[in-house]
Amino acid sequence: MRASASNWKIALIGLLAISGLAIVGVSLRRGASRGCALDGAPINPLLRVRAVDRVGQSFEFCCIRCAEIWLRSQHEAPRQVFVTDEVSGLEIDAGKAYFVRSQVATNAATGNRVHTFEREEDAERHANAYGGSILPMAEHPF
Amino acid sequence: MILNAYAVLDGFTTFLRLVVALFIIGAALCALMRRNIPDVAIETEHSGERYYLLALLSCVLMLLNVAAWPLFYLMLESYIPQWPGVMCIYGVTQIGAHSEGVSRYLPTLVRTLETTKPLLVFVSGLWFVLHLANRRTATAPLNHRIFMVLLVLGSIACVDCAVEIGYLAIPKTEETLESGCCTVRFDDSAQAEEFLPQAWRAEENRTRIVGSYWGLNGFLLVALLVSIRACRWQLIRLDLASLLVLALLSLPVSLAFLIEVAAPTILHLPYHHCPYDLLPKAPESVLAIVLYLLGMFAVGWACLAWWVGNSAETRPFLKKQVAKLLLLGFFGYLGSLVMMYLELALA
Repeated sequence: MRASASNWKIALIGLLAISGLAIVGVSLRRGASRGCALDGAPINPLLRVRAVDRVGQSFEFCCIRCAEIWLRSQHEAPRQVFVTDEVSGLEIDAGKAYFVRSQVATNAATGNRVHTFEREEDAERHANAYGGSILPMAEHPF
Repeated sequence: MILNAYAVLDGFTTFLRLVVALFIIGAALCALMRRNIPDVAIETEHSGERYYLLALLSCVLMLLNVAAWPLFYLMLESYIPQWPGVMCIYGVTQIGAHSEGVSRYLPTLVRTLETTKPLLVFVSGLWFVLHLANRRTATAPLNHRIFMVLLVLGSIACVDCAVEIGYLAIPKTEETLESGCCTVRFDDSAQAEEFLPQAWRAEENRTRIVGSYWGLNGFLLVALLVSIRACRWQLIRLDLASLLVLALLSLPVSLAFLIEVAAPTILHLPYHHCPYDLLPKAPESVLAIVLYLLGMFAVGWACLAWWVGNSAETRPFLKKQVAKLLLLGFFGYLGSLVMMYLELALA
């Protein structure tokens, strides 16, 4: 009977320690900075993609591939998607952007090779320099 | 070959494990063969000493096996900065995929090690449980079964060590991550089939997974308590097979819960389903997984102790030993559920 009581005491102490550990762990993570809305990776400002959903909430992604995967998991199409012009770093509407698939990966973790440009000549320059091609409208990611 | 502190430590423990495992296989085989010869079967002072040496070495192997499991994952984690694009351990496990050289075997080797490591810990624990029961008897009636378990343990350890040495030795620095890291494999519904069936991943099944996880594991806790009572007071027939089935059933459900619910919530990334990310980003939550595995292993040990360790001499105390194992399992599951609940509630 005594052994059983001590077992429960040890278990109770263990459970309290576990609870303490969980509370400390969660509170330490609370202040951590957020990255890509899909996988938490840091976002390079030149490659950022931003999607605005139906309720007006913005989701930022580290690359086009992450945004595509996120869009596939959504039941409704987003209200708007913005991409970043790789030359100027300015945010542009995805509908007006030129997309180039080249040999250069923007994100090795996702294998994304699609680049975005505001001007057609910049897109052509990148395609010529890195063995790529401008994507026709039907192949646009968004 | 990538040389860092973890790789060196892992290599050293692997070599040590291999030597001990080979010795154990030899000693267990000798002991089994000697038992089949009638003249030698009589217990002598030397055979007793040999048994204790074998028991000590098995203890060493058990401790090394337990240490080798987290060490392996720490080594994989230490490899992450080696390749651009590798974000977590999952990425490291995919290095070499789609390559043409000897590196193409790397993902298979990692998958093998991810299977043999828990298996080794489980079989080591089984040996320890049987050894404890055998030690309490006068004529050591479980010797033969223990030698068989040691033979299995040594063989799996040898395979594990050989695979691990192969993994350490194969060059990796030239390789790139061709198949993508966890974002592509876990989050892209087009490619995530290999981890969970598509139906399980559907949004509407999320509540079902949550309900099944808490329900099944809660029921398992109650069943464990009832079984512990049954063992202690010997009131009802012990139904360990149902308990084992229940524990095995809860495994895929808990895995689905971990991938679909726990990892995204704890990491604050609702669309990211990579459980490997928990180790670097929420290390304390790994304790919930460890406790869950402890619970499951303890149920397995209790069942096998009852089935394999049953003899006329062990019967008087075996039920109490099984009860202790079930209690360990109960606390393992309870600790895991408490930790998981807090992690999810506070996230």
